[in-house]
Amino acid sequence: MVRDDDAEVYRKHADDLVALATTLVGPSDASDVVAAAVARTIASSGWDRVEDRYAYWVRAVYNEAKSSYRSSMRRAAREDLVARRASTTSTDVETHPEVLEAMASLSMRQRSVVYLTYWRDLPVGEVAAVLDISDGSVRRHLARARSNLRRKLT
Amino acid sequence: MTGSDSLDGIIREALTDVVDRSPIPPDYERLLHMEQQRSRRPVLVVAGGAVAATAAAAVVFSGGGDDTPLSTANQPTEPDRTAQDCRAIADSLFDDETDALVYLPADNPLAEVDRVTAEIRSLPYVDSITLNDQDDVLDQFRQIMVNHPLADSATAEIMPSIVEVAGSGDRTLQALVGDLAGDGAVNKLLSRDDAVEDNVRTCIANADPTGTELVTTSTAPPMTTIPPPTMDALNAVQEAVSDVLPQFSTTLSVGPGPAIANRILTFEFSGNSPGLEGQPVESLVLDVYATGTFDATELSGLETLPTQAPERAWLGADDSDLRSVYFLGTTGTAIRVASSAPDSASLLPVDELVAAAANLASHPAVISLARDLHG
Repeated sequence: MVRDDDAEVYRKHADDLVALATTLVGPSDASDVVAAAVARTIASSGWDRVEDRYAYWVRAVYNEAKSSYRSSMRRAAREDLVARRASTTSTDVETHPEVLEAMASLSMRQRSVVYLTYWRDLPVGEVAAVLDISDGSVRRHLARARSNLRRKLT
Repeated sequence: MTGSDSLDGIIREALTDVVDRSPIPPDYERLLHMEQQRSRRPVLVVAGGAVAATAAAAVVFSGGGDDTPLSTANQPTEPDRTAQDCRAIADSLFDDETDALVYLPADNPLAEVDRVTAEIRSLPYVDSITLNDQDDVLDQFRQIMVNHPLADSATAEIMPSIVEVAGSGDRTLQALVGDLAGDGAVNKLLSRDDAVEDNVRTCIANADPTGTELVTTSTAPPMTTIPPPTMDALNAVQEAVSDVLPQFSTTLSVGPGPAIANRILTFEFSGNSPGLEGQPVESLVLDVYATGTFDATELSGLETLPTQAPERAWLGADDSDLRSVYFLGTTGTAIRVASSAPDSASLLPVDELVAAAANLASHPAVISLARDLHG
């Protein structure tokens, strides 16, 4: 059930959700993942009872990113966005292949924890709350991610 | 600046590189439009119910009947790995302090997972445990199997949960075997070292699909040419196994296992009995291979048991290690039915295994899956 202020809340977090999706699946699929995740959540019957919409969308984006098959809805979104993507995807950003390779070596969970910790600057407890996992799991995923990144980037 | 500060800075810079590539977010109005289109999908009342209705609605919505998954070529991909990379990855999956791993079947109810983890935690020789839930194990699976089609198609619900146990060093595993051997909610126990070695072998076989690092005689085509199976096909085979072997649980397992070049897919099914003489329940395994795995000349030199179809051959059969290989007609694949039980005959007599494998080899669902997998 769509709520009156959903648009406002979405626009507040949209850049962040797309950045998370980019971290999880890369830039080409990031918009599709966010579109599918948000459309699915606002259509759900329990949406009006969700208190922390940002956290819910983060988890929805995470789940959508790791979904094994892309739905027909995402295909429709993909087709709709093709034209815009051609003109909006940044082509002049300097990227470092070794950095992308290092991030790609992390698991989805590790990437989401790294993003929330280092990009959003959330403390362990808040990362755990957003992802709905334990503090210990956050520390474990973060430790493994740091270990992997240290090996790849230093 | 400390080493930790330096690493933090490097990670923030790396994230900047990644996030700078973000596209613009989708418009909210577009999302609303998507949601409204979705809610207007027709609901068909037909025999067969929700599945048929959903499939029909999907066709209407997508404008076509093609349900082939879209390419994942744009996702971040892993470059070619070396054996050293594989070892580093496999070693990173489990904590350094972990002594042993307890595997819990994919179909365990959460209450059973809670019960087993609580029981392990209470054991006097256990210092700490870490539960890797099915999502965690799927992540691990994808790290080991990166670039393999199954890395995309596998889902968390078919993964086991894994409890990492830290305690009394090398004695931990032995003690756990004694305490958990009769527990039906426990699938298997491994030392950390053995689990890492299993994963290293799987990773290398995946990174080097010709298997040259493991099987020097293999000339198999790269596994990346094999498309992922659809969940419908996997479910159909799972139902076929249920039909053929009703006395077994038929959990699909595509998790890391012993690495064998050319293996495409693994079904693992466990006996519903409480176990053999106090040992954990053993399992039978149905593997689907590209036929390049099996050398016809080698097979012809082995004992062959009488079967009805000429394309079927026994690789070997005895009470300690049942193995059968069945070529699936013209599909370019073979299935192999095997048992890891030390006393397989008490789990499934030889003649019943022969019958089961023969039935599966000629089952339309298995042949259809094999064709899907091998093009």
